[in-house]
This record gives sequence, C-alpha cells and structure tokens, in this order.
Amino acid sequence: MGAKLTALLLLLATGLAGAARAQDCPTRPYWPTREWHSRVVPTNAARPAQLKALEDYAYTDVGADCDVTRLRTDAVLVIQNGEIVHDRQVHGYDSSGKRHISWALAASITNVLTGVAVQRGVVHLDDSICKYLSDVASDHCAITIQHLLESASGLEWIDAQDTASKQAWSLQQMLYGDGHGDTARFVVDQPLRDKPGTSWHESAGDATLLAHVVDAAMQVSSDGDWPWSALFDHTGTNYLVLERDLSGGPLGGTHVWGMPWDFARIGFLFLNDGCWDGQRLLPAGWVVASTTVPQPYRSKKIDAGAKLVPGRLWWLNKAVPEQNTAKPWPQLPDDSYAAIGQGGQYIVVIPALDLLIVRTGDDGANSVFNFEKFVLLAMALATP
Amino acid sequence: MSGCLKRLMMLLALALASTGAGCGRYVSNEFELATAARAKETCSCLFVALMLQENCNTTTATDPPLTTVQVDLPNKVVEAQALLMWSARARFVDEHAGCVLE
Repeated sequence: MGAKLTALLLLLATGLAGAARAQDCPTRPYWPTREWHSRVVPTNAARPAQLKALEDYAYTDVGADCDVTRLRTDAVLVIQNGEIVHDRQVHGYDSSGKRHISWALAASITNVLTGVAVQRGVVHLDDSICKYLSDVASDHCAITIQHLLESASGLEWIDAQDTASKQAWSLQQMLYGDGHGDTARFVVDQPLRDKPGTSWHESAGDATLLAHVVDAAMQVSSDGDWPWSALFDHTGTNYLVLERDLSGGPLGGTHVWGMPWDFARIGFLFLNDGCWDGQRLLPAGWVVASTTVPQPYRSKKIDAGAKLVPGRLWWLNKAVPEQNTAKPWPQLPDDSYAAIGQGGQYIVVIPALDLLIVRTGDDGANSVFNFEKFVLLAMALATP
Repeated sequence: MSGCLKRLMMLLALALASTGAGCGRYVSNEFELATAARAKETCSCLFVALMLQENCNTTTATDPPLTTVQVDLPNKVVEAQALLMWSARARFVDEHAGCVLE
C-alpha cells in the first residue's frame, strides 16, 4: 500500500512537472489524435509526375511470393506539416482496421515507452535490470536500462546471418522455441559476450528485455494496459496491439501491430520532441539522445558488416569514422532517422522537411527494394 | 529433382535426425520452431491483423509446406502440426495483447 501511494504521488508530481515543462513543446495548427488532415491540394493534382514515379516503384510487385528478393509494398503514407500528402494500401490492407506487423520496428516503440517511464520517474537510465527482474546471474546485474536502449547489454545473440540453421538463431528460439514462454528470461539467461556497455550488437533480445523491464516497473503503479493509459490513448495510437508472451511480458522487439496512421503518430511524437498537444510525454532531450550514435557503437561494433548506423533503437543517417561507417543514406538529409523492421516496415522522420514517411511491406529477406530510392521518391511529393 | 523436392528430402532427413535432443545451445528443433511460428503468426494474422484466412495462409506458409493449421474461429485458437510429430497452439487473448503462443 505504501509503495503504491508513493508511486502515485510520484506520478502526480512528475505529471505537474510535465505540465510546467510543456511550454518547451512545439505548437501545431492541430494534433492528429483523432484523425490526420489531408493536404488541401491533392497530390495527384499538384505533383502528378512525382506521384506516378513513387507508385510505379513502390507498388509494382517484384518476384514470387516465396522469392527472397521479392518486393511487396502493403502501404505507403507520406505526411508533411501534419497533413497527408499520399496514402494508399494494397494487398488486402485498407482503412477498415487491418493491422500490419512491425517486426523490429517495435524496438523504436519500446524506446518511446521507455521514455514515458523515464518521464514519469518510474525508471532511470542507470537502473540495473536486477531492480526489476529476479533470479538474474550476478554479473548480468551490471546491465542497465541505458545499455538495453543502446543495444549494448553484452549478451550473446546469434543472428540470421551468423547461422544457416534456424535452430541456432536466437530470435527464432526466443519467439517460437526455448524462450517463447518467457522471452525476457530467455534473453537474460544468455551468456555475456562482453562487459555490459562496452560493445554494440543489434539484438531483438535487448529490446525485448528492455520492454519487459519497463513493463515490470510500470506495473508496480499501473496495470498491463499502461501503454494505452500513459501513451497510446493520448496520441490516438490506441489501436496498436502490443503482443505478449505466455508469461505476460511484452514482445517489444518484434510484435507490435498497427495501421500506417498509428505508426505515423509514433513518428510524429518524435518529430515534435516527445510532445503531444502541449503535453510533454517524453523527457526533454530524449529525442536528441535517441538520435545520437551511442558510445558503445563507437567503441566496438560486433556486426562488422552492418551498414546501418544506430541511435537508441532508431536508425540514423550519420557517418561514424571510428567504425569506418559512412552515412547510410547519402542522398537524404543529414537529420533523417528511421524505425525499421524486417520485411520493409519503416517510419522515416525527416525534421528538415517536417516530413514523415511510413511504409509497410512483406519483402523477402534479400529484397530488391531500395530504401533510399523509395524515400527520395516519397520526398518528391513534399514541398521543399 | 525440383528445388522444392530437394528441400523436402533434406528436411525429412533432418526430421529423423532431430527427434532427439537438439544440438548446440538450444533445444527446440527446426520443426518445433516452424510449427510454433505457424500457429502464432496465423493466429495473429487472423485475429490481430484481421486478414482473410487465404491471405494468412500465403504469408505464414512454410516452404516446403510441411505444416498444417486448424483454425477454431469461434474460440480464436489456432493449432499447427508438422509431420504428425510436432504441434503447437496459439490463442487470441484480447485487443491489447493479441495472440499468445502456448
């Protein structure tokens, strides 16, 4: 009872503080909590050639259904200045409520939910995971929330490219095999490869463990629906589904389901510095920190061949000389960043143009789909 | 021999080899993984994504097609099987938590 009362008072205090800080938040003519507005002049009238170029590229299926190089766009949504510039769904998707899987794009949503928990004072970046999880090996207690945000737990994680066998693939085992009953337990039971915080390795396991830790912390003062009461209901993303494992832990590295307009609202929250309609939902500085290359990546990158550059569970358009990594999307504005999931799920944020681009798809693992080309075509619909 | 038939023969050979304990760090074998994935993702496709069953059959099918699914629409439960040896079950929980693999 005492702990709950303290948590309640803490929430109240941080809520009041949040209201005071809301003066730092950007203003908008409207907020798309209920619906997105469309641009007054339709794009097919304003930019017909550019629209045709985008549609010819994005919506032309390439390859058979079982082809690993296949290109399958299910939806594209382009939003500038908060107004829909382009919006189309195919392959059975439409505006009637059909949701699309996020795959690893979910990790960026886990970043957002972590920010909500930090803003409310429920968790802190330097908290050990052992504050929220029991029966963890003592050397694993050095792993903090910040380490998980920065994919720097140091836990071993075997990716698809490391093995020809799904049996040895950690993600498959976490979701469908040894770990499916309690995914966080599966992740935290992996051996340490490096000291936590000293190396970077893309891992849906780290994001899943983070989602579970934050969920456990928030449920002390709330319930399993806290993502809705604390975030999704405020931003109109309440149609999102955050799937859970048999233990009740959220599958925050892979399994969020939503419609393109929901994913766009996540991007819009970041585009507006973590604020929504005058209310600061994420801590001041959260978006900047999330779109900064983490030190563990600069120190040691496990995936030597990885060409994408990470922030905190978002992907950045920055060069990192220490790792001989060039800007991954040289033709896009420097400030571009994206949430990315397997199969061609994207939330692209381009602050310089006040632009959001969402794409859902079912591409093959080695798809011919070219992300940068697609974004350039979508950018051509926007006004400079 | 077609590519699909070759893969089928290879997987059948693997099936015989994998009926015992798994190799390496993990225990679950490829058939358990494929069966569980089919059950879980079919359940999510039907009851979370709200797609038609024919769409879900396309997006969740295994290649080669060794898994089958049975859908209990009223109770929102999906069971998948492979080669009469492996099975898995997923059920829809609610509009926030989606489907869970049992």
